[in-house]
Amino acid sequence: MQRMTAMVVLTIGLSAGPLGAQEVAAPEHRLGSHEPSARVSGEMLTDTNGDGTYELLVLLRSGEVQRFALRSGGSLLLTGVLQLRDPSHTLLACGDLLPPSGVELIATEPTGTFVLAWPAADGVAPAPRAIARRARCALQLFAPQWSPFVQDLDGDGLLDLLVPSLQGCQPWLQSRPDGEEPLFSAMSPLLLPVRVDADCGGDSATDDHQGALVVPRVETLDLNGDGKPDLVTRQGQRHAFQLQGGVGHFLPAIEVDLEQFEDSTEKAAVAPGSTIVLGDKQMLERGDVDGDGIPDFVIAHRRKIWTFVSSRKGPQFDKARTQAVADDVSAMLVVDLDEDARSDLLTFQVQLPSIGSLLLGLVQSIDIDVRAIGYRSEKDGFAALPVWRRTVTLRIPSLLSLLSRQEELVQRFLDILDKARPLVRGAFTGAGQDDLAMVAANGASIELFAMASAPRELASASGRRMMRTLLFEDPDPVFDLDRIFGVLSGILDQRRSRLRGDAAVVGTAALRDPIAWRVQRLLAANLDGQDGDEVLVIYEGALDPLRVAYDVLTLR
Amino acid sequence: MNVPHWLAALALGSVPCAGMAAQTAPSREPLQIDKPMEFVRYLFCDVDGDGRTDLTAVCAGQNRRELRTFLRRATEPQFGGAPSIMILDKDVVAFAFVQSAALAPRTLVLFTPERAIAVQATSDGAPSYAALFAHQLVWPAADPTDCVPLQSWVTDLDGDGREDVVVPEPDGARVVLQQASTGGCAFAVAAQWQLPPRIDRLAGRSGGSGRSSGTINLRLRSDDQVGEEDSRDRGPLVEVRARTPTIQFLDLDGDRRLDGWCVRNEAIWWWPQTSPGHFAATAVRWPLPLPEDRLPVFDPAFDVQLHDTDRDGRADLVLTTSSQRDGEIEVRIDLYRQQAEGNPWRAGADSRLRLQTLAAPPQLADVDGDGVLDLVAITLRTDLLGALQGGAAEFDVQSNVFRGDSGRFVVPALLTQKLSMQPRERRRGGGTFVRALAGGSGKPGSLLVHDGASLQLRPLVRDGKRLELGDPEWRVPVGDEESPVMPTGQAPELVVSGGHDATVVRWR
Repeated sequence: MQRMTAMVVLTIGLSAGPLGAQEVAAPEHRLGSHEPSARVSGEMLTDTNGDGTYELLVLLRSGEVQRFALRSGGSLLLTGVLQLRDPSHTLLACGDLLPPSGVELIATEPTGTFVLAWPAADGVAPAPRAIARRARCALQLFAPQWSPFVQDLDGDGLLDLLVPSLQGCQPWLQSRPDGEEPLFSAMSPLLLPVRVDADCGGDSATDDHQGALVVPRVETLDLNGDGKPDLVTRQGQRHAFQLQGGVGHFLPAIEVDLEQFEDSTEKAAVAPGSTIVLGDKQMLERGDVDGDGIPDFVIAHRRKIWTFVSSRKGPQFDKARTQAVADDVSAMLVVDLDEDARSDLLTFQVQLPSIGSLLLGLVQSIDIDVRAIGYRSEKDGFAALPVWRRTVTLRIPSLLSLLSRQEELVQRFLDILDKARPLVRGAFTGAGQDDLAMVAANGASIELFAMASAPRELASASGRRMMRTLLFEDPDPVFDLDRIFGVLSGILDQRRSRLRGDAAVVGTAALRDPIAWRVQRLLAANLDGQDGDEVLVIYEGALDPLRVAYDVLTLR
Repeated sequence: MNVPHWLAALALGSVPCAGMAAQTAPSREPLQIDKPMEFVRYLFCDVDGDGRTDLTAVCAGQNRRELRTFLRRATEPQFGGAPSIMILDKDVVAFAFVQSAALAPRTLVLFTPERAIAVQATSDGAPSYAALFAHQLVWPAADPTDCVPLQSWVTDLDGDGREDVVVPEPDGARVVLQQASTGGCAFAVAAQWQLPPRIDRLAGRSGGSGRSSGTINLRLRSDDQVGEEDSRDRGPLVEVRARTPTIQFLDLDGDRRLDGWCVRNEAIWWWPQTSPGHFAATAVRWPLPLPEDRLPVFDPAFDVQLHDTDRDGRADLVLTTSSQRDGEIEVRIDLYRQQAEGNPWRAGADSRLRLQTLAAPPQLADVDGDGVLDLVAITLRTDLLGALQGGAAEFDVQSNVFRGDSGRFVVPALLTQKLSMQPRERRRGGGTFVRALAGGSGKPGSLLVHDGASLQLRPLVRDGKRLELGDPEWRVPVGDEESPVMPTGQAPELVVSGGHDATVVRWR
């Protein structure tokens, strides 16, 4: 009967919020529509022939790839169909790899990586063109999927291939020795924290067997201030950092195994027998402690902190400033709390109730204390004494009362989610604009906010300010369910304000009836060949989420 | 060898209990494995076809996984022989033992995400591998620290004396029947069972679905990135998710052939075996008769079981749901007897029990020895939880036994008895449990209780028209590093697992 502990990470799913069923009339904004009859795996907007006009690519679970173009007269016309050879094992991406203008469709599968050409006028598709026969993906996918495996890993302007595997990914870096044709060369495989779930559930008829495989994206970061992306990878407690040497060339990894950093102090129980301290694993965070623009690294275990300051030579784990902190560290952040452009240390100690108290939580509320302590950065480490210190309390209502109020709580949560509406930026009012199109609160239309450029305030800065306020400055340190809902609602309100800036609604376009269709997401691109962008609205059926529909809307 | 402390306690004599006429201590047989390997899970199955169940353990450690099979001997120690060890390739997701004929040795079958492979011993002792059939296992890759036992998906479906395999696949299963063969195993795909995708009751309200959707990632994280996050640009290279319900096998329609059935989207789906080895092409859907006042989004007690409670040859439905009543959460256990014709069950339940919060799904077993299934429900004494206020480490559950009679459960209960539990924080999981055991041969059964600190067998004793819960026949302490594991249907035997050590506990 474990309960949720202190929330260090909050993730909110996007919802279109089907509230109210007022049909907003203005069908003239709809330039074209398509409703696939087969099950869809995903979609993409791209310019396949280089004419500056984008097409819609729809990938079906059967392995068929359909290309649609917007034609005058209000229709999305099917202009090409491809069939993948091995749908259960194919990843697809789009990238401009080959000399003819236009973006190619690139597939990686167990026999290699290929460029797929669209059928000619006779309807016959040329054979796939191999670009890297040894770049093979043999993962069981059940159905084809879009993947960001084609990307410029080393920032040299040439697209590379990142072929995933059960251990991570195998990068293939592109070069153009003769200036024309791409050549892909393998570099050392990258270890990534691949997640595999093989949950066999229980034997009850209401248990499901669940399987999952997630290969995360390769993280890149400038680790030495030379402006070039370097690689950040890890597997388990082993972290690796690879600096970029010459163009398309990565140096051997700088590795660190967190297991070697151990605080021999006995793990503490705040009040033996009644609470336990959560977490005893070593953790690594990074931030710019010395303010030189280069990320530094902080490792923590129990009450010990090791700070490793990086330089233009990159990360180093040989020379550390070692410090002791006041309490065991359950979690930490390296974050600029005082806005002096240097990251400070924020530690958390979570005090979980004992098993007995957790059981008591069935019938009465329980408190989970989170002790937050902040240390100001100084020189190559942090101040010995904390500047910020407070205990906040998460007050969780009794489980039985949560169950009996579930309908009300779920509705409150969904009402908050409705604030996180799908949005997209594009040049909707004219070339060069950076307008904002966002689904309206009632889900029945899209609202257009015209702006030349996005507001400049950074999400992370306002987030840090809010966190500091909540943790250390708010007079009430107790967070019950109502306050948590309030905080979430406030975060989303701030986000919307930040995105809109001072812009007002300058236009709307009707969406489909939100009772029947929910907006999944919005994409923007030039689909009609005229100046400016259109919006592609991707819907899923409210009653049958497997139904998909696409509408192209103009906001002019 | 480290001796578990409870074993030492047994050696000194069992804990005396007042009121016991005779106490029979269970036998216990230690097993050990060298570090860094650890025992992960256990399967009891007659591997060598001698009529005695053997023990296979999944072991893991330091990037290595093994299957260790201990053949049971007729003499003590029963698992004293050296185990056979099968090192598992990194692609092996699951395993099962499959029998080709009654009393024949079983063949080990290994399952990768897309292939089933038979492992056979050759004359020189080295294993040989034979591909059996292709499939799409619901798990797309192997867990490097575990291996899934698929034994419950192996059964002689068509009654030809050869065990068949039903392979769990995304939203369904593949039915593979074993064929007659002169050497080794031969299989043929007989059916592909398909289900509609699972509908999430919350996602249906929120707009989420199985397809990827935009996500706003509100993370408290260290300073290393700036700018508005577009989660689509930060999406993974690969993301694969699949699920399928547990499929069970039962003669649902009384035609003496096993059918396959499962629960999904508030309905029972089942595939009738219309003739030996042939199944209906599409599933029959029986909507569950869920009460209208059931908790709308999350029902913690929701449970579905099928049993022939009235011995008419047709499976009846035991349906457990929660509702809110007078501000409290109430659990209802409804029994619907399957009708011979027309709709599978009537509009209203044939029998309804109203109970407090359940600690576990209800169990059906003949515990009073009258040959009819009874219902055993373990409820939480929420009214007594306040005793935990002072830091006490014990809480009470109540064991309730309702006699089964002609397709209903009779009130008042045959037994209502408080049991004290002492939950501990365990490194290996394995919480407290109460398992109802049938007595057999017309005798009352017993309750096997793991109260957190000990394992004990409590006999049920007739007292006129009621049952009494007797004092423990035996009690053995369980250490904080140990967890009793009850393999399905393998009483009177279980394993107390402790990582590098395990002990097989056997009684009667």
